Amino acid sequence: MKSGCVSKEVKKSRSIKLPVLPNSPIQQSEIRDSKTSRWRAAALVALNLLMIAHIVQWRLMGTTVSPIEPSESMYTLQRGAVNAGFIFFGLAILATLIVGRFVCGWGCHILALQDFCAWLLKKLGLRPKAFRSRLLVFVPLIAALYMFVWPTALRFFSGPKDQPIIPEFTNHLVTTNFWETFPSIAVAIPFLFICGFITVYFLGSKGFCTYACPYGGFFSLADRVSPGKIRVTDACNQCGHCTATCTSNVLVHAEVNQFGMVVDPGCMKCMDCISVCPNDALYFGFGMPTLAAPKPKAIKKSYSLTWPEEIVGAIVFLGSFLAVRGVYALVPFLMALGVASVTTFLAVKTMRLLSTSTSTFYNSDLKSSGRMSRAGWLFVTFALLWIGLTAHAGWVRYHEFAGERAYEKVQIPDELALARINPGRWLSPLDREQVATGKKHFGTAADFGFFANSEALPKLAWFEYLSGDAEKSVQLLNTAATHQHGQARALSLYYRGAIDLTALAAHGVVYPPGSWGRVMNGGAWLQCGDEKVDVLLTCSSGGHLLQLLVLREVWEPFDRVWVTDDRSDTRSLLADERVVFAHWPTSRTLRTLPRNLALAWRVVRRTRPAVVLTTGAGTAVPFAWMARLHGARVVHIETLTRVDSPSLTCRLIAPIADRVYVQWPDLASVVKRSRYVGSVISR
Amino acid sequence: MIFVTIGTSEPFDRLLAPLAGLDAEDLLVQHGDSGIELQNARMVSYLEFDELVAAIREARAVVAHAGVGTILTALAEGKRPLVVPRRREHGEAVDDHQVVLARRLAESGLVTVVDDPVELPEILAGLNGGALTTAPRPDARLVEELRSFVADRVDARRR
Repeated sequence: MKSGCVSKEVKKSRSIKLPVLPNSPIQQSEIRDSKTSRWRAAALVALNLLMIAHIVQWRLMGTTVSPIEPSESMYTLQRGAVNAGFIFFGLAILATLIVGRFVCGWGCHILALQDFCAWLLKKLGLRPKAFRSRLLVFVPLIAALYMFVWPTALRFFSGPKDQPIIPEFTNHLVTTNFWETFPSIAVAIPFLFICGFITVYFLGSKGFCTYACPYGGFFSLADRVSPGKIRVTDACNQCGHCTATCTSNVLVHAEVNQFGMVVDPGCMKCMDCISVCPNDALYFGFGMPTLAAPKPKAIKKSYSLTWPEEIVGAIVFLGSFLAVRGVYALVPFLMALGVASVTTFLAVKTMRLLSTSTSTFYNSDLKSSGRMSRAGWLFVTFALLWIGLTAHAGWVRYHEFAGERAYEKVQIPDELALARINPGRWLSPLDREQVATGKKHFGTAADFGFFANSEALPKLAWFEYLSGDAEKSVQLLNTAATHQHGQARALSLYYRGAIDLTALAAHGVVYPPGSWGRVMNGGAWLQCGDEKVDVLLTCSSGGHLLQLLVLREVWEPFDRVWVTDDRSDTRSLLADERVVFAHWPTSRTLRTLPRNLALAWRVVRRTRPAVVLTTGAGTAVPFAWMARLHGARVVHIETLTRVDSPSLTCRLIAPIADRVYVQWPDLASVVKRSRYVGSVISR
Repeated sequence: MIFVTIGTSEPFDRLLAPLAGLDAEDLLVQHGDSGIELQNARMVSYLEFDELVAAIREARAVVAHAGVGTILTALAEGKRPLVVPRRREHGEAVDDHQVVLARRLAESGLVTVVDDPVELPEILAGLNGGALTTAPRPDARLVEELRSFVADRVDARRR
């Protein structure tokens, strides 16, 4: 008889009455709701609101306290930059040493996401099941050592002799570029989705904390020595409500029974167990730390994996991590750890699903009596898709890596490479080989990758340039520049006319050679992203530029950007300035006007100058107009050359200028609204 | 050393030709598009800006067209240049602005105008030192007005 085809009478008669034991010491009553979870939810919501407020305050005012984010400590250890994140992390570890791992449960935004996800799943009737691995629990600690200890150790063992182990400390508590060290929004959203949601769905309600979070690696170490613990009174009757409620996968009832306290460093002091205990037997109190407790042996933990599966899992984790970390120069370290933990689960689960006759996931049977259900096929499809994408990422990453290696091995000095339009003849046979290898690998990565790699493309461009294709090189740099936002990066080593960089200035500000230090000898840099400047100085090369330079005292106190012609005098005189080179020539021709208007649009929208200073000639006109249209005030200083009649430039700019200065008294009467208060060379 | 420059615009043979009569002195001539060949001079058609500054710095005397760029560069090096204004009537410029400019600057003692280049050898022979006692500076009023204008606008936006 099929189930569901049973008459009501039969159904009734089949119900079995079990005897109810009165006054049982283990009463399986309903687990009461945790009261502290509401307080914790409030704390985590407040945390998120504060984070948003921090960002809003930064956007509005321009400067703010540096991010209160533990990862920032890396820059303190590596460069000595003391920032808010370092202070926060330091205080959090100190606090954990005393009161235990509270910060994780009450002050982490990733945990907030994970708990939010678990709450959503609960609403859907799904309870995430903890994935228990013996080996992968070491990932957070290894990651923490890699992030925070390894760089210092490396400096100690193989750094230059004169470099101190502990760098000189500098104050970075206040920043104007809050987002500098964070990924772009396009990366941040999948990052938070994978680390906050996917990990919970597959690995349990603290999936990310358990298998990925490097800060957790330190916090769990600190928790072992802290005297602050969840402890128990004699009132405990081992009902198990605590263990059932715990979202950190701690066997609370067993641990308090064995040790009189919770020793598992995974405990994040959310206090739910205390709140739900029907006998009020649990409390938070100070006493012996975990380290002083006798060795746990009586508690037998059950694991999700057999030992062979653990080994396979660890290999899959490592492979997956290496495959996605840094792929397309997009995937950050923590996200790679999150992805790797999910890949491991999916791989092991699929392996098991295919090899056993029965398997379940949440409330669904994936496979029963050797038959795969629809849910089972869905799971396998998803798992294979995920693993396939990871493998693809790994393949792309391999080619990126191989290209990188070739790039590092090219030995031709920049000066030599840039000395000729075709640098081919300066290349040694070894260099030639590296260029071919690098081109092949970066090319493969670019052709088959799903996203453009803004760090690999400039290197591929360099290879293209070295093999004589300057035009393709610029195309690639252009593509790379469109994928860079809000960050200053070395785009290229090209300069000295080897490649026309003016096309790139549209994406930001091209820094001329030497302006960012001697490391980039002959190199140009490109600053991408918004940056307000106070003053935009624009003029043609030659006498116009010299007159504006003489007025150094006027503009030197302000943030500024120059727009001028790409000529030998502008390069030399403005070597220490930020310069955008306009298209040339601009005098007595309209040929370059459309391109300069387009360039002006991009430069002005990016730099938002408050004031435009110009001494004129053709180049200045489109930039002055465009800036005026965007609300800038324009000041035109008529060139010294004009003694009795205004220049064409003056006539073109005067209508939009707030001030027009002439340098000869008699000209003031000819040019309407102009002023004369001396010239740039009065004695 | 005497340094002669005619900038990068149109040829200016009228300035260069009389220099053939100059003797027994190191002569560096930046001649641009002028096709003239001087046997007694080192001829270069174009100089990078750094080279131009170096040449001015080295020179005992600077002879130039009355271009504002060249004049300002010479003044910045503390040299009072001998300038020969380009003239429209000879097809050396589109207008006579150099004539007017040179005259005005000469009134302030910043340049020495040589209207007829034929006189150049004689003037150069008699010249001892073209140095200025003080380098010219921008007018303090101009600087002050400009700076306060910029500062006001920048402050207004920051507030």
